[in-house]
Amino acid sequence: MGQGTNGRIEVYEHFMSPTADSYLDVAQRIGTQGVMAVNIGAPVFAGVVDEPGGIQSITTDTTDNDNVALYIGPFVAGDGGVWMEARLKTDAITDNAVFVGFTEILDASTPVMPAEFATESFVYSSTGSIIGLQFDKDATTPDWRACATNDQSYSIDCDSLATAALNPPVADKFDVIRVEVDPDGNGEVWLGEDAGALKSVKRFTTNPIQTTVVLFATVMIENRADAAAVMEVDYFNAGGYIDWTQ
Amino acid sequence: MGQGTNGQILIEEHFMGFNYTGGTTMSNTHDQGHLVAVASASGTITQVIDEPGGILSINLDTTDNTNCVLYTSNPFKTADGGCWMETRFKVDAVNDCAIYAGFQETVNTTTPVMPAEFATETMTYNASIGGFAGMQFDADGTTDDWRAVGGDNSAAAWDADSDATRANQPAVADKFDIVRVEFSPHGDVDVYFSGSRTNSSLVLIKHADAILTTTDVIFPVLIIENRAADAAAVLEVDYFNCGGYIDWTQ
Repeated sequence: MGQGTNGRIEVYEHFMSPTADSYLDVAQRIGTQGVMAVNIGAPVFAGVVDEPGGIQSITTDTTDNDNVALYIGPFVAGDGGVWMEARLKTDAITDNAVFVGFTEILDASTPVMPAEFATESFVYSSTGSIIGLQFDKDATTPDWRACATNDQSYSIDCDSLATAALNPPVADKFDVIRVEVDPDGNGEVWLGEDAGALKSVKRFTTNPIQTTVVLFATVMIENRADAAAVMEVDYFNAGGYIDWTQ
Repeated sequence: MGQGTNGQILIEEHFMGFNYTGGTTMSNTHDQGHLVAVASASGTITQVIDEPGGILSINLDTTDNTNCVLYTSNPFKTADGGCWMETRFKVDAVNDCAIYAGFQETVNTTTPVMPAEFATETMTYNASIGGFAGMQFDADGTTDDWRAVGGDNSAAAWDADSDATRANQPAVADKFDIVRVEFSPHGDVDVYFSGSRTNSSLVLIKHADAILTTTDVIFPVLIIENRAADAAAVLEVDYFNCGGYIDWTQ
């Protein structure tokens, strides 16, 4: 195949024109730059104007396990690597689970949390390749946890099925999560808590991610109570490269 | 007139965010990211997710000569500093469609018109388009090939022979081709092509001097038109990028 002049694909969404909608009945673009959204239940999308820089507010429906997934993609790691970064916060840490990273499987009608943590058990819900940072209020010890898998077999270099950041989220304080996947299937998960700089939570070195499958950069919140969970996203960026071989 | 800090206009559309729900009937204008799609008849627009990088699929109606144009709703002007466009796309079959990628002065936003059409051995330059330059493929040609074409008000801008300028690389079904067209501020044009039959970078197919009135506005476009009466042509677009400069004189 031939090649054009620019092989880089980048999406930078700061939600300067956030979506205001009662709910989305199927996957649909939100914002203006290439972020898609899909949900279970009837969430509410709204803009936040009392904080600067553009913020997309997402309020899930009130039933347990209602959710909303924002995603960009797909990308393929083997095309030159992929990355994503998002800055987000939740209004409380007692009623939700959050996943930020890449997932191979993204159901565009009934999205499924790629990874969940209940009590002391970490479960990869989706098949395919997954890498990211996960928080789940159902855990005995709430924390951000770096995780990676392929087809639900845990990455062998992942401590206790996931790697705790020892830095749990705080209600109404922004966290920044960045996930990078190399062309060889290795990856690294970073966390910048509150106003701190990004720090590596885990570097995966046993090639847990398949290099030829499509990956969706994903920011997802799921209800863990019978009350609406609220997530505010300051930005959601992702990038990769064109597959010139197609 | 005053001038601001950034005169560059740059659009990079990889179709990562699909704006409509699971297949949109395209009998009128649709917003596709930074671009607009207009079709002459119904058909559907969908997003392809089994290939990476964002791909827009345009599925035409089944009637012969129905078409769809993808373009920026506002034009560029070469005199402002030049302009360029580059797009990567493929068709599902090469025997039922015609394609044009490049710039054109006039876009009919109700019933789009192909700037140039190639039937048997004759290239026809449509008068309603005004000035244009780009690459063209047409299944109605006796010899299938990509051809660099340019013209203004039905007159050919180069190569008086009817073949325009051949790339000697015909389109291949389900294989991506890349077209890049650059206009200088003087109206000179370079038409580049990278075909699926090679592993090469973009290759210059045609350079021509001063083919446009530099103060005319021109739209970057990608058009597919049906060439069969009972089959729907399908165009998949990987990216559509373009750029130019602000007209500080206005």
